[in-house]
Amino acid sequence: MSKKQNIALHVLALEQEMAQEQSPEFNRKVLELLPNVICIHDFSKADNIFVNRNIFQAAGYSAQEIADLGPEPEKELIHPEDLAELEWNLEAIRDARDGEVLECAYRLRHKCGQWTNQLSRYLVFTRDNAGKVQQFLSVTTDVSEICKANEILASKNQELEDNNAALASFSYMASHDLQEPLRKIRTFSKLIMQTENKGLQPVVKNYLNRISDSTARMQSLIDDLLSYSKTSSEELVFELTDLTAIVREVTGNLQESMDEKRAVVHMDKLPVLPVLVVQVRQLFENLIANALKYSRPMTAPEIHISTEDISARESRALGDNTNKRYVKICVRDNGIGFEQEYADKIFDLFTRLHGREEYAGTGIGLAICKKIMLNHKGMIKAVGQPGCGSVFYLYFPCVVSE
Amino acid sequence: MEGKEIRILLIDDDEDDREIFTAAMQEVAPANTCETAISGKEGLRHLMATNQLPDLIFLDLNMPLIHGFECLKMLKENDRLKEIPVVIYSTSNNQPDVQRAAALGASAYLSKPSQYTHLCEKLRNILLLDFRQTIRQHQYLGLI
Repeated sequence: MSKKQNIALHVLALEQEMAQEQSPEFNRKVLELLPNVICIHDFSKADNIFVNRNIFQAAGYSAQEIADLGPEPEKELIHPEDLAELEWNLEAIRDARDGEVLECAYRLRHKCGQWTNQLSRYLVFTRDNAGKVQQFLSVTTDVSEICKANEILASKNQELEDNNAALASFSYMASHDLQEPLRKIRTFSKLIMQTENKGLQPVVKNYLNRISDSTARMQSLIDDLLSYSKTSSEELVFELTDLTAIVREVTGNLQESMDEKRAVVHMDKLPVLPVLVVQVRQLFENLIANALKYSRPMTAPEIHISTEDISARESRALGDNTNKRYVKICVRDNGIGFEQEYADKIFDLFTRLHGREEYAGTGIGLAICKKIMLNHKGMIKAVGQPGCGSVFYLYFPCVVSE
Repeated sequence: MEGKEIRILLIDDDEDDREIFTAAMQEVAPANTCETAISGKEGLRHLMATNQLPDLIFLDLNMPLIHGFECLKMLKENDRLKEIPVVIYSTSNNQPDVQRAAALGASAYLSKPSQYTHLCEKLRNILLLDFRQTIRQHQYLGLI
């Protein structure tokens, strides 16, 4: 028996013991300690036969002051919009089954003038000889703090959404406006080379090419940065999508590169999952483009995309929450691979394992992949073997959670 | 239009883009006549005054005073000018703009390429198209 099960049994045993003893001391002490307002209402007497003293704290009135409010103090203290529901509950309890808990939330005006949020729970207490409900028990909790926290959370979320929208449009404008001069630098450099063609010294031609290359790199960087910022600020609408179709679309887009390298892509039937379509497309495009780019010289790239079972160890790493099930998709290549010690680093922004001369790139692609998996509440892991190849494991939740 | 010398009008407020376009057109089809206008207002004024209407108009979108779409509308509302095919020539390539161009009667949409050689290639392709047919049949060739 596990420790958890042991403790649970111990608690149950204690509960039963106390219930059997019906120790008045226990009851009294518990009542004293509970912050709730506890009340027993008797229908035949049309009055409360028990109310604990917390009622005075809840509303801020003394016993006399409440009595002064008249025979129906609730009409004075409860928010007019909530009265109807409260009264409905107080009648509905007559038809309730034994053990059935009714709940009602309402606003109560404290003596100081502030509205508080209360949550009352009702239970049938006693029945008369005819079986009709005679008395019911109510326990009321002040949930004002929780309600306030929720309101703040909602308003912060709205603020965040507004900021993200503003950032998205700023990013788009910024990247658009930044691309403009770059386009011209590149074009006019080319025009210089064309105009002077025969007359240009090789060293000058070289300089112009270097200008062009730097500009191309900057254009790439801006595009990738825009991509990266988009993955955090776009509206998250999950759609049930056939991943096989997405990958086919991506390989279609990369056909030219693939033909150039004589690349082959093998794909198992991939699952249908709730995903952010545009982002998942970007994800596979980045991974496959990488596999093509980092291929071994003289070796045609071979890419395998498949679904695999998740081991117990991986399950635990994902959080071992039996409510959440994951699907594991593998993207395997036979390229140059990498040292396993860099397996986490490669997902860092602007981090590259190779110099610009060896392989082009901005160091943003895998950071985008990681962001995308996080947006899906999933995970990405990489395993590499230098000279052999790499595998990227994508863990997607089967179900979208809030 | 293949092989024939045609007259082209570019309406674009950006001096650099006008120069780049003219250079590309010179390279791709030196026999063509290439005119430019620095604004929608200037372009329309020129078209109303001239006897030699262009065979093809390239129209920028993001211009001060008169936006490209407004200019396009005015071109298509004018009986004398509405038969001239218009190719939108813009840095924007987002769907709403591409669709709006279609709705307002443009014949095609060319997104300003980031490389000069690509621009030459695109212009070469455009000059091979038969715009008389697209105008007759109210066709929209979309993003080129």
